Amino acid sequence: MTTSSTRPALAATPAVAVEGVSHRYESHDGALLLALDGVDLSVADGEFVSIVGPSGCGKTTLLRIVTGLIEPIAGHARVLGGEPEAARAAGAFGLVSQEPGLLPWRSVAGNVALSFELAGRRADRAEVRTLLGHAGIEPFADYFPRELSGGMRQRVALARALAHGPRLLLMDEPFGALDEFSREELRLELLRLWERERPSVLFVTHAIREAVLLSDRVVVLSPRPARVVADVAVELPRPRDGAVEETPAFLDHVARVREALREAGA
Amino acid sequence: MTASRTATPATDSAPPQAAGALGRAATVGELSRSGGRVATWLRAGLRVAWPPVLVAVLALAAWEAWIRVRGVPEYLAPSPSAVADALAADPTRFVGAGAVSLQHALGGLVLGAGGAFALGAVMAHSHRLERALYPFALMVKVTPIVAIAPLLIIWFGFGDTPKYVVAALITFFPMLVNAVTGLRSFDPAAHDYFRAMDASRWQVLVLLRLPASLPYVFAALRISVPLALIGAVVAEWMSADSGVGQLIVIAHGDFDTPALFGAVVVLAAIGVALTGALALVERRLLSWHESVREW
Repeated sequence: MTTSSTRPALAATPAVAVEGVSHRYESHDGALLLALDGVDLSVADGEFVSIVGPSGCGKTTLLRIVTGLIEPIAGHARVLGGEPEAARAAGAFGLVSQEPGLLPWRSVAGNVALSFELAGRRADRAEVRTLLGHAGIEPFADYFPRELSGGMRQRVALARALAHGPRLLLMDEPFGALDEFSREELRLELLRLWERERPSVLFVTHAIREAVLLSDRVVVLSPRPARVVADVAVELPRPRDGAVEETPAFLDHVARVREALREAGA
Repeated sequence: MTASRTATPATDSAPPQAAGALGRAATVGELSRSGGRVATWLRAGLRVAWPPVLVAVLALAAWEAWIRVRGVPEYLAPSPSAVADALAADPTRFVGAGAVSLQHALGGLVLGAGGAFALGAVMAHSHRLERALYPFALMVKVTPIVAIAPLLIIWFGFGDTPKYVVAALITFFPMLVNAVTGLRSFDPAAHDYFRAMDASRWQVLVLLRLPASLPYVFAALRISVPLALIGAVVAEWMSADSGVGQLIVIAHGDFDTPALFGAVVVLAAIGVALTGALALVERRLLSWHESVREW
């Protein structure tokens, strides 16, 4: 863990390089809708990048293209210098979606252990306990998902996503379905967990303050078809905590992102 | 749920740590603890079971009284005591026939429900395949089994095979429909996570789809288990060479009404036992599911 406010020297290969990606899909009445229109995006190694944009602008589609689950109609995405499929096969991704997506028949410990199993190795009990400890959910190891609150479930999803040591953490509005208190708590929790290993993060949200609090850079997308309209570097010292939200610098960043969104017509 | 999983019953004499700490007294402690548990279960069972038991006792008493007071001839309707006499006179005949029918029903169930689940697993992966195969599965379902049974006897002869096949055919459809639905009823967010983790189709099937399908599988089994018994007995009855089906044919020919009732008692007992066993397994396997919630 580093206490310095400067970023470590960025490695030559970016974690994510999206170049000129366009994608469209068919709506229910058969019309073709352009969702993404020539999107360029990069995430440096160890960088925390948020994508902010109005709902339905194709942010989730962009994440799916990065994981290689969707082939774009134009442009391409590279992950860790290779094809997304190769990164996926190497276990480079950790995913947290809006819904926790836990297995209800497995305990908290079992759900976190699943990441090891899918990464092709046996889960060590002590190792799982340690991870749960980091995420602050060790006392709930033997609980089942339905015995937990929404915030707790999302903590488990976060612990699961980080369990196998992914190099790229993808988060798709992970706190969108939570109440404001849990959301506040989990943002700080995420910051704390991220500081441990500092994986690269691509974080989709439509909460501006959340994006500024967490990120090194905030990429602003326009309404559909989505284009990158602004790329705001967040120069706030790390490690951050809730106090940073009271500073003028923070509010200034928030204002800049909001302005960019307004200009894009969102 | 947590409480019921981790807490020991309140009536237990010693907490586990205390029994362990006593060392040499541990065995005794364990014994009295398990004895106490059985007693607790019995008491709990009685608490749940007394209303239906009371109804059964009252109904049997009324039936017995009616037959005796009205002097109803035995070949028309035997009294409960006459049925009990018939069962007691030759218990091996009834138990033996019941065991054979049970074997036919379970064999057919494994064959039919197992095959249906396997086919369902294939169909759940492809809507096109589902559309291609579904009409034929439906055909098997809507054709009355008594129409097929004679054919099966012609094809497979007497012996066990046609019984297994009839029981299998009758249990096939409920499992197929539920397996297809169940294997598709997984959480999409969990599926996204599996895909991002590059899980293989096999891992998705075994770790996600299969457990998610269990509530549906058990719903199907609750329907299929009694059906399997019906199928087995119908096949036995048609070929009249074994099981409770044969017992019924013979008793019917002899106007041996108490034995006919005896056959009914045997089938009812098997049905209740199978359903009960199924419920126990379901409670164990589906403790995570909202259908088995205990509060």
